Amino acid sequence: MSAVSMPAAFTAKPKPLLQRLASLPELTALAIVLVVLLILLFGSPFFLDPNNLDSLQTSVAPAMIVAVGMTVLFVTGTFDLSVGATMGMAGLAAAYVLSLGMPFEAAVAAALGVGAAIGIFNGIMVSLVGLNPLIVTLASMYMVRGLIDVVIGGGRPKPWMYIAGTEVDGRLFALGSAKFLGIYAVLWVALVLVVIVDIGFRRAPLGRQLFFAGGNPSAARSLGIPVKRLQLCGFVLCGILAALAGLFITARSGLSSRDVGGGIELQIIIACLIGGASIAGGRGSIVGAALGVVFISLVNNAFNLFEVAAEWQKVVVGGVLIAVVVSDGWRSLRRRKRTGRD
Amino acid sequence: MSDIAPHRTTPVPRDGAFAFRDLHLAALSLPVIVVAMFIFLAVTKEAFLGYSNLYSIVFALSIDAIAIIGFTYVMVMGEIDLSVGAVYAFAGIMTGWLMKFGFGLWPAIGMALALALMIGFINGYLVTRFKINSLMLTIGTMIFVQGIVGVLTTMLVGGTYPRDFRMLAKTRLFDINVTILAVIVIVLLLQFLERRASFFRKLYLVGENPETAIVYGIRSARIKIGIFMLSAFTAGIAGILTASRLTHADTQMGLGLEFTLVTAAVLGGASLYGGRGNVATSILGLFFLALILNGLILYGVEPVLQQFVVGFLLVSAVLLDRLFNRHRGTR
Repeated sequence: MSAVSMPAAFTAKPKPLLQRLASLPELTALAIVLVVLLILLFGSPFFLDPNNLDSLQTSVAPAMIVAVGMTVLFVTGTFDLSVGATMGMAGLAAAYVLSLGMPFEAAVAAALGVGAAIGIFNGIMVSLVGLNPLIVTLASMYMVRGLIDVVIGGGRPKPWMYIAGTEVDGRLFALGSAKFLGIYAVLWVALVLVVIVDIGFRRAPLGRQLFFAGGNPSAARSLGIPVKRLQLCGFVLCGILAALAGLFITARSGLSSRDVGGGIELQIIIACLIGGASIAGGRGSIVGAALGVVFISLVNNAFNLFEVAAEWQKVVVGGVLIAVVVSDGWRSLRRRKRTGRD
Repeated sequence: MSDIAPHRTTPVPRDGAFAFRDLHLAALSLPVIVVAMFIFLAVTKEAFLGYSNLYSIVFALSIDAIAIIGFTYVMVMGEIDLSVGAVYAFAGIMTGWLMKFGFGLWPAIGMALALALMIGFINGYLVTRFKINSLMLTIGTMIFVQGIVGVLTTMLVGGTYPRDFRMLAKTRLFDINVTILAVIVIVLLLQFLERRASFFRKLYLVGENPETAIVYGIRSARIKIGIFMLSAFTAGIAGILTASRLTHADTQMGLGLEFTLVTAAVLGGASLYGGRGNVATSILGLFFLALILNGLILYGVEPVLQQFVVGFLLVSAVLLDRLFNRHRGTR
């Protein structure tokens, strides 16, 4: 069954340019982003307000960083529900290390180490032991969220969770509001990541191997591609990127709280699917996923600006996810019919 | 019937015989663990054996047990329905909402359940028609329905449900809550049907080996749609009973129920790849979770640790299953 979801690049015959463009998932994502953007530009006078654009930047960028890791996982045929919890835990780890009087570098290392550790756990369980990714990453989400609650305890934020004070190394907090050419550092990091990994996906042999490993695992294995090891590395990368995103959110807010990354895993998955990833593996686009993240953030922003009750946000996000999943299924059904299989 | 048995050992004992070797490891060890846990709590904590403590465990269990019936069969088919928690909340709050607009108790319940069935039909139809991964689709329906639940809840905020509705979960027969009796009857009936009725045999076959099922002319799409509807229906009934118990619209209702149900079903021996699963052992899984949570409370363990414990149990259940059943060719 999984053999049918080969990357389009391997199977497609030359087609008219227009048809080829229309079948690019990135363009679908770009089109819906433009639609929401136009609605916002003409619908709300506050959209272009500098404060609004600033908050958009800092909400888009961390999600984009995580989406890069999630897309790599989607391409290899799996996914990770524990990214939100990892973001929260990484922020806590960084704040804790800073509160011990250690420098900025140690805090970054601690945060990324937490991400890598969670990624290694997920990767070993899914890729090497062979457990279902849903169960494993759901369980690690539970466990990490539980640990966060245990560390924080009840009530108000503890003093050590603040990173803005003078008694700790201030560089992390400064990083959160650092700007270069009017763009936040976190967005620079996200954009550079997106560009590098996207080029790697299209050009580098490793990128093509990832697609092949996810699209047709048994064929890839017989070609000598280390499918399981690639997947494991994908989980570690995803964990580290989630930790990086959590670090930036903590740096921006000056406080590591339990809310960091809450519920973000589903939004990221939706963004990746909008951007052309398929749960069956072997497909996905980094640029598409980044556009998906922009779409989700713009929709959230629209709801805030038009002052629609937050509940309707879920209706729209859920509706979009259903539409995306159905159209993905419809497209791969058609593809299968065209190639004479099924 | 037996000549169409798939190449793997099927978990359904054939011809009503209690085929011991077919029983799954998790399904075998779970009763032992539950009994051990029960004895441990009974010996070490006096409060545990109190009538009110035990009764409240069983009563809460009986409501979730209704929801796990359809959910287990969805897993048997090799699919998953993550929208159960949302549908559960939807049916409960919808009933209260309709009654607020002047509908009687039973018409309101009927309409809420009909809407739940519709959600189940949409899930099943989209999954089978477009061959979609049910995990992704039902995450979508989950979020969508949660949004509607949120809208309904804010409309109902403050104020309790009408009295008829609140009394529903308190209905008693022979001084026992009706839900408990209903679950016992349903489980016994299903135990019998799973062995006898051809529908259930087809169900397990579709989950175990979809290709063979097609070869033998089983309409697996129809069965799948029906089971998704059953899942939404049982979730809806449980949700209506829970709403009646809560007496008011609660935004937290049903949150995370899908994960509790997955954990319980997997503990009870269901497989995410289909072909395995049984309502009675799923309920035993629920009972095990309830005992653990009750034990944690009795021991004064911080409630925040509960999430950790549930996650830990979930991963250890699948890990043990994987380690001990590798030779069976289960993925």
